[in-house]
Amino acid sequence: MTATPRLGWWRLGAMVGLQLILLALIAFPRVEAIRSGATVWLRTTPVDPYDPLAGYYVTLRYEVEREALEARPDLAQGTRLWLTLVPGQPATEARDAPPVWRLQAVHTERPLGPEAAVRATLKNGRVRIDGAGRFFVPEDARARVEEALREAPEPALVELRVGADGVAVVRSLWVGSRGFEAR
Amino acid sequence: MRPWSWAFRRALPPELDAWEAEGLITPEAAGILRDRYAAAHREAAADANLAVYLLGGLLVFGGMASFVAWNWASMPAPLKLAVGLGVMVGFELAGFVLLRRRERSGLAQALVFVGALGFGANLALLAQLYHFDPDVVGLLAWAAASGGVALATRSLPCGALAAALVFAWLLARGADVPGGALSAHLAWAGTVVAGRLVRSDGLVVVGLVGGALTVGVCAGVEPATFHAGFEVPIAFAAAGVGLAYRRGDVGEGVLRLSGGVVVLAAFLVGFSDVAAFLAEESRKVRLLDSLLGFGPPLLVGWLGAQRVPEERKPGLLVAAGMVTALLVVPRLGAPMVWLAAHAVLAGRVAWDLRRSLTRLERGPFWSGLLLGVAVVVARFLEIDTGLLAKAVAFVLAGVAVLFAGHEFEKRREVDR
Repeated sequence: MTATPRLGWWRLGAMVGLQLILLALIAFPRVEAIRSGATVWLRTTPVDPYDPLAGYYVTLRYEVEREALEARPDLAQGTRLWLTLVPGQPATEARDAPPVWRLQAVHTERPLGPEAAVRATLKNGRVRIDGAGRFFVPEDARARVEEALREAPEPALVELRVGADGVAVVRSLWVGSRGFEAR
Repeated sequence: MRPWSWAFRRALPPELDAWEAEGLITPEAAGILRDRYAAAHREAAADANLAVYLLGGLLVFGGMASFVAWNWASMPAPLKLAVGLGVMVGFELAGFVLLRRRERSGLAQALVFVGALGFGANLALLAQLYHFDPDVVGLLAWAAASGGVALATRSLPCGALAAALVFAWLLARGADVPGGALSAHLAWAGTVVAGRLVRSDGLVVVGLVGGALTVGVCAGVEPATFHAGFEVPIAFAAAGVGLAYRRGDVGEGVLRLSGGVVVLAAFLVGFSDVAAFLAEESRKVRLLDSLLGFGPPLLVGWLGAQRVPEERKPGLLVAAGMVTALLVVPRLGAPMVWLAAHAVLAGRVAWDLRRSLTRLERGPFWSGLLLGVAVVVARFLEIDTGLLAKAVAFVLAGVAVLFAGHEFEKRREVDR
């Protein structure tokens, strides 16, 4: 019977390196979108479920997702999409109110124009903007967010940062006049 | 020596005794065979030790996940990431050093396993920091990371974790990808076959659980919206009856099953929603109806108790106490129902652990420990409990399991 050879240190380096690279690959496009992406404001209908691993969050269902589905009802499940967005009317009558962006077109290939374009997927009969469907809330702010959602007279607004590669990252959620910043 | 299965290790000693008694082999040959397979006993102890450590590791991971989910606003994001990555790498480094030194292999494997689980906690942390849903890509990345750790450290638990995550990924993607469901069926069947080939009960169990999930999802059950209906206790009962008959002693089997049903009932009532529902519904039930409903099982239990060995009677008393509690306590309100259920569960855990420690029996030690862990996990899944409290409770429970498992195995070794 031969003894199992001793584990070399390179194995530790390889496994930790693999883990860090995988985490970096997931994080990097989002860091880049926050650093240099365009700011886009979208209307959304939020609801508030719970994830046992990552905590309390608000599910974001954007109006442009519904409009994209209406614009292209012919697409097959699982199709990867690009939604081009352009600024529309201001969110409120206040002077510094941001414009609410609206859907310009739905593409199945990456558009070449200068418009902000976000990546999306058609899944389970719904178009969903990739990686921007949740807004996580600290446990101690949960009650305030729930109260704001309950009392809001109109759909909430979400501030997104959209990178050149179409990655969208949520930066803040506005319910009525109350804003909740992403941390 | 090849990795002998649990069933083989369990069956060998009495078989050797029987062969010797029947004159099939000489006492000398029996002695040689006992020496030859003595390592199998040590291997069994090592496996049990590893399982205890893994259980403790899972609880510690539960604590890590709860801490992430708490989403403490006062801690800056870079510090959160540094802590998350530090914990992951720290566990893996500690486990790796022990593996290199070939010391305390169970603990070493558990530390590496917690590190692999820690990748999932870091993924959840990234999802929280950048507000995205990590489900599909995250599962695949976690599977790849766990597979890497399994290859680097030759860790079977990490391999099983990677296989389980691939199942989960296939199930999550099954609806979108052509042949997704077929891939999931092939994956779980392949895992069962691989588990049989390398004689790993753990891999077989992972495969079977994956198979059950695959069948459930393919039948249209969405895991995210799965509601436990009547089929769940019926499935438990069927499994219990199967086990009872397998043991060959139907009378004892029925008693074991009764005890199991009582514990299962207490476990279900331990959920605060169920306790509240039961308390509300029980007000509508007349005492006479309750007596008619619970009386016959109680009588059967009492008659059965006359047949069982002395040491099982306290367990039956607990069962009888539970039935009485179900009759009386609901009339006092939901909190008392909840407390009574937990008193029964705590009593059962304490009874099992006490018996295991006084007699150094592994069976009750495992059942007690698993029941205790199941209760802690169930409370984790109830969102009423504060996340920080959950995090602390999980880490403490994990450390307690690790300590208890280590002490128990040490005492067994000393005793032997």
